[in-house]
Amino acid sequence: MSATRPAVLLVHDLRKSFGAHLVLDGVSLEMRHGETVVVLGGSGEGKSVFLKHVNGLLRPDDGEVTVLGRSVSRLPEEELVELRRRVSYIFQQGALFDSLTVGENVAFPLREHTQVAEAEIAERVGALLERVGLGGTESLAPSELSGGMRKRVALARGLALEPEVILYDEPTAGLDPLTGLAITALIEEVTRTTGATSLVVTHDIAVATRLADRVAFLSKGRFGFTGTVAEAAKQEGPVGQFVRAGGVHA
Amino acid sequence: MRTGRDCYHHVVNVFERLYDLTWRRVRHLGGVALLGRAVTARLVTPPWNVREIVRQLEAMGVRSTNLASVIALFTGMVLALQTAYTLAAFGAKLYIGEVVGLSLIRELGPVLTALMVGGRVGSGITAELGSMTVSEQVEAMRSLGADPLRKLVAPRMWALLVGLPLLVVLADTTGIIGGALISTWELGLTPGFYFSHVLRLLKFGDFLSGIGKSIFFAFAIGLIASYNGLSARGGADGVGKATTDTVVAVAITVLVLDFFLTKLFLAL
Repeated sequence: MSATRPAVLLVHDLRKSFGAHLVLDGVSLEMRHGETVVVLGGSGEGKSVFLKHVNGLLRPDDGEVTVLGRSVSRLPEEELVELRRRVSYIFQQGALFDSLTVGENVAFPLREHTQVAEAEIAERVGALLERVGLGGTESLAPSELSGGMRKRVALARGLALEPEVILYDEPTAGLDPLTGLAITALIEEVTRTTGATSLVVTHDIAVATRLADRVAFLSKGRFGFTGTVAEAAKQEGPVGQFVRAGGVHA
Repeated sequence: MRTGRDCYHHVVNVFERLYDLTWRRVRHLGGVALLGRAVTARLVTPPWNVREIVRQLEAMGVRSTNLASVIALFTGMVLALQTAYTLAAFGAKLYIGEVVGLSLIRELGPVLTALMVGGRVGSGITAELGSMTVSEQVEAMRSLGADPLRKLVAPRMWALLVGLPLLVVLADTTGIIGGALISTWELGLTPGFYFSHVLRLLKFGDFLSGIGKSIFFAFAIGLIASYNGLSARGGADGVGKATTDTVVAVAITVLVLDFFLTKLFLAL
């Protein structure tokens, strides 16, 4: 990825503990505009914890997180609101609001942050749902959706404010291989058409192979490797083993 | 056989557990206090989500009217029976209206309503917010740039602050009617005599004291329930534990708070 593009995300020496358990031990990463970085790692290595620091859902014990030129780790919660309009977070299970319908979930950020008339909101919600392949589902309740559909709705909700950065937390976790493939293809299409900078956390090598400009391998609280998937497959030790176990060979 | 070293480790272990327990309680109280400050700021500043407040008022207040009425009715009836029995020993059975009226309006109406409705509504708030927390819906709300305290907690607090005093008025009225039923059926007093005695000693300050207590109770119930819900961890098990904690904490808080509020209002 060209170093001439502006840096969108800068993480420097990020540290985070929960009680006596050290999760992140000096994580650093830089992402440039339009780049897709996939963070790989085993379960419980702190991938989601890392991602939650990027839009300020978690505060670091030490270190610095800068997104779109704003210091996320230092901004008070009220000032993070403006930044979060530009940075979408797609949760692992979708995190749709149970008390709202699918349409109301997708309309939520529009109602929260814009003065758009209800008729236009309805139109935009319809278009967003069409885009993720769920047209006409506005009146359904989240409880009526399958896991894959929930993730699609979450993606539609995340795209509503046309974000510059999209954070994906385990986008294919808990899905059958075909649905996982469809979600990955959808993310690829969204990345291509929006030009958004994407940070994807996953343990699914297929996602990394298809989406990543670079992968970063999180192990023991640090990024032990950063590079392409092909380079990762050539590595000795846990990085290479992890990638090769996912079916990618040097 | 226990050695001296075993005893030493046992004693150290007990003190460590006591320290942990105390520290957890202190952190819990600190958390509730911080939430109280943050929520108060959102209660008194716009925007207010009136539609959501009305929805919560219906869910918490209107649906608690049967519970509050039945409890107050039977409390009033039992109070009348017990008071008549006690006063009869002094030949003062005719003063039953004064005792029932004052007891209900100053004390039993607000406290029993807060205990019962607080348990029902408080556990509901904790379960709802808890399941939203463990399924990442609260974090999703934050990530979408919305304020969960303003969106979720403030409307529930407003509904409690408005709803509980109204339920106390209902409970006071129903309780006094319960007393009237017993006075008429069991003691042979006329309703007119009973009600004139209920009103004889009652002052507006007594009524305000009961309503004032209910406002403090509502605030405490809302805060405890919301804090436990928002700090729930670990799935359904964590939500269940948080809900149980709320019922216990609400009961203790209402009774302890009642003592101090009674002292305060009597001194005013």
